[in-house]
Formats: sequence, C-alpha cells, structure tokens
Amino acid sequence: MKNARLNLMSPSYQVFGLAVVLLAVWESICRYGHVSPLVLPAPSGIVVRLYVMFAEGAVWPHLMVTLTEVLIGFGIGIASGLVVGALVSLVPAVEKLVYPYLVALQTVPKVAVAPLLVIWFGYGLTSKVVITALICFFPILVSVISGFHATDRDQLDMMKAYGATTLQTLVRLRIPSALVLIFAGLEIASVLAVIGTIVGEFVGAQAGLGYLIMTYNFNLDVTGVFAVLIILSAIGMTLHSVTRFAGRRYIFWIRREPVAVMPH
Amino acid sequence: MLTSPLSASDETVQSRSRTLITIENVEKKFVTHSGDVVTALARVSLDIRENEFVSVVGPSGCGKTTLLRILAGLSSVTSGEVRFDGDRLRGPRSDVGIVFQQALLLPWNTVLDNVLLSPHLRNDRSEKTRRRAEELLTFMGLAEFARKYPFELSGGMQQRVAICRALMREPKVLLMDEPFGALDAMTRESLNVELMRVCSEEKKTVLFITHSIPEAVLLGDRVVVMSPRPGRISEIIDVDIARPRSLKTMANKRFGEICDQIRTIFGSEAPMVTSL
Repeated sequence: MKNARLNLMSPSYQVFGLAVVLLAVWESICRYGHVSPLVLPAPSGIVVRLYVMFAEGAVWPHLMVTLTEVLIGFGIGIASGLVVGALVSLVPAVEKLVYPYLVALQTVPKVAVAPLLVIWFGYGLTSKVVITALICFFPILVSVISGFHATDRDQLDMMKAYGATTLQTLVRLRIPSALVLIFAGLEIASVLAVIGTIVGEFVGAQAGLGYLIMTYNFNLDVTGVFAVLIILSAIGMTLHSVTRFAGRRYIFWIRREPVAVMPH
Repeated sequence: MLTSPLSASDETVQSRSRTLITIENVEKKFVTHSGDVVTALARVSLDIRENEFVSVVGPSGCGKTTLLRILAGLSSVTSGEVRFDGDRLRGPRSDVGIVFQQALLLPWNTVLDNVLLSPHLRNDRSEKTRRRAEELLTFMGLAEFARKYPFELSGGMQQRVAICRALMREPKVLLMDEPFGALDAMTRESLNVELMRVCSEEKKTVLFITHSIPEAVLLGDRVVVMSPRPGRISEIIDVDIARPRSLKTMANKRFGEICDQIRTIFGSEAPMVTSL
C-alpha cells in the first residue's frame, strides 16, 4: 500500500497528471469558450479524426512514405557520420584538411538548403533522404569526434604500458569509450531525422505526412493538421526511445545519463 | 616486543641479490604551456636489487610519479639512463607489471577479461592462461566476481583486480603508483597485508610509490625519501624490521623510529618547500 502511494507521487505520474489537466482545460476552452475549430480544434475532435484517418486507411500510404524517408535518411546519416567522424578523429591529416570545411558546412542552415536539394534530387524519396541524412550527419559527426577525444589519458597510458598496439588500443579502448558520446549523438539525430524529412516534404513532395499537413493547411483543416502532428511526434518519440534503449543496452557500464552533446 | 635490528632475512635480501634495475643520473625536464622549463627529476640515481621491495615517499611534485613513468617506459629521460638487467630501457617492457592510482579497468570487460588483458593482447586465449587468471582471482579473494563487471565492484576490489592484471604478465618487476591512495584506511590496510602476501609467495621486485610514511615503512625493504623542486632523492633508509610483517608491525618501536626519521627529513626541508 505504501508503495502504491509513493508511486502516485513519482515524477512520471505527475507529468501524466499535468497532461490530463492541460487537456481538460483545452477541451473546455474549445467547448465552452466559443473557439472556432478553424483556430483550435478540441482534443476529442483530434482523437476522433485520428481514428477515422487510420480506420479509413487514407493516412497509411503517407505514413509509409515518411517512415521510409526517415529511416533511410537516419541510416545514411549514421553511417556517414560514423565513417567521416572516425576518419577525422583517427587520421590527423584528414582532420586538418577537412574539419574546417565540415564546420563551415554545419553553419549553413540545412532547412535553407532544402529547396536546392529538391531541385537537384527531385520531388520523390531521394531529396528527403538526402535532407534527413544531412541533418542527422552533424550531431553524429560531432559526437564521434568528441567521443574519440574523450578517451581517458590514464587508460591510454595503461594500454601502452601493457604493450598494446595502436590497433589494439583503438579496438579495445578508444572505440568502446567513444560509444558513450556516440549514442548521445544518435539520440539527438533520431529526433532531428523526422524534422529533416518533414522539411523536405514541405518544400516539395507528392506524398508523405509533411505533404499531408500542407494539404490540410490549404483546406483550413486544422483538426487534420493536429492529427498529423500527433502521428509525427509519435514517430519521433518511438525512434528516440529505440535509440535510447539500444544505447542503454550497449553501454551498460554507464548507469548515469549519457552526457548530451548538442549539435550546434 | 622488540625485533632485532638487521635481522637475518633482510641481510640475505640486501647482500646476496644482484642489481636488477639501475637508475643512473636520470634527469627529466618538462616545458610547461607558458614555456617555463620545470625540472621534475634532477640527477636521480638508484639501484634496485632483485626481489627487493623499494618504497618511495615524498610530497606531491617530488617527481616520484615521473620516476615510475620512466621505469614503465611511458616517459623518456632528458638525460641519464635506466637499465633493466643491464639492458637500456627503451619503452614498456613485457616483464614489468604496473598498478596505477586508479584501477583503470576496462568497464566494458568482465573482471576475468580485465585480468586477461595482457595475454589477450598477445593473442593468448589458452585454457591454461584462463585457469591461471582464475587462480590469481581466487588468491585475491575475488573468485566469485570473475564474471562481474568493474562497476559492480567496490574501489578496493577493483584495485585487487588491477593487481591481478599486473601479476598476469608474470612480471619480474611490479611498479605501483600510489595504488591504494584513493581507498579508505581500512581497505588500504587490508590491501597492504595482501600485497605482502603476494610478494612473499611470488618473488617480485617492487617499486611502490606512496605518500603515506607508515605504508612505505611497513611494505618496504628500503624507503627512498624524495623531495620536490627539483625532484631528487634526499635519503634512502633501510627498514631493518624482520619479515613476515603484519599490521602489528606498526606498533613496533623500531617502526615508529623509522617513521619519525623520515618525518624529520621532510620537516628539515619544509621551509624550502613553503618558500616556493
């Protein structure tokens, strides 16, 4: 009994309770405050709309398109971020030559480049994948580089004293210790991936959830926009949770929160 | 109870053993970020005999860690030379085991894999080697922790694992850099006892760095007293207390005398330290 009481006071219950209160306030404003659904739809209306969208199946093709773009873009972003990050960290010549350009590229807002990418790669899947991969690339790159720089000096000495070769030190010490920060970068990238895809779809697309938002918006269907927003955050949260879970499984030796590396 | 000074066992160790490590006029200078040259070690000479336990005490900045890093092959000398068995030291040696102030275990490897680091680096994954590692862990009272990860162990246990890892190299020489400095007093004492047990069972030559005078005296055949700025050896004191020793040795009159003698050396140099 005592435990159940304590749990009700736990932060997760409080967060949930706050959500219930906010939704109730929102709902009553819409119902009794004479707010036009064109401006702010009621939560109940959004839920009904979500149900209809999935039940009638109209949303599925768009969802699949966006999911594919997010996952492929995220995957390519991870792969390229890991490879370039490893090269920059481990080959000093590459670091000197390439790093300034990478930093310069990073200062260009990817959103502003999106129209250009749509011109180059078309209205289909490719342009969204490229934008997503680009947006995911930098936080991963930065986390890989800081990860490799974060190798403990004393541990490096220890490996040297124990006669480890450069390769052995890399495999047995530097890569595993870099993983902590790399997973922090992956978490950030997982959230950015959805943003990248939607930006691409906003700029020019024939399908996808971003395209759907634009269409609903033109028709002043605010309830529909809200419904899609909820689907999008569900995708983002799922991707983030999966990444976080993978990180916790993989870097089991860190029991505290991994240090977050901000991409900018 | 009084132990007779210069007991028989100490005589044998000191007179019959041959010199294993020769440190000859070793000087080490560093250039700091601001461009100043700091002399970490100024012309240090020391002979370490085979199977001898040499403790090094001194305040921070006296170059004791620098000396150990040079012996470990992690740091070069500015001038002078170090010889192991007559060979000039050029880098880390396979017959030297090191224990650092921090356990420095690899957190993603089990205790057993940490102990097996050295053989694994030589691609030795034999059953025989693994059994030897398990024996060492058992000897250190860690048998049931072989499959655990370092973060599941207390600081003292982690340091025991680090000692096993060093012993796994079958080293002739054990270099220890304040290995128990980060531990609480009780754990520290029990590890001192354990270290004496290890050294009595496996013949080892040990260079043991500490900032604790009693620890240095309890463990050492000789205590090298160092002083800072520039780092140098002020005095080398023979610990003429018979082995085996135990924590009770610390209640011994001679033990107290030697500790006092060392404190006096530090005391007489204190004004110089504060003036800098």
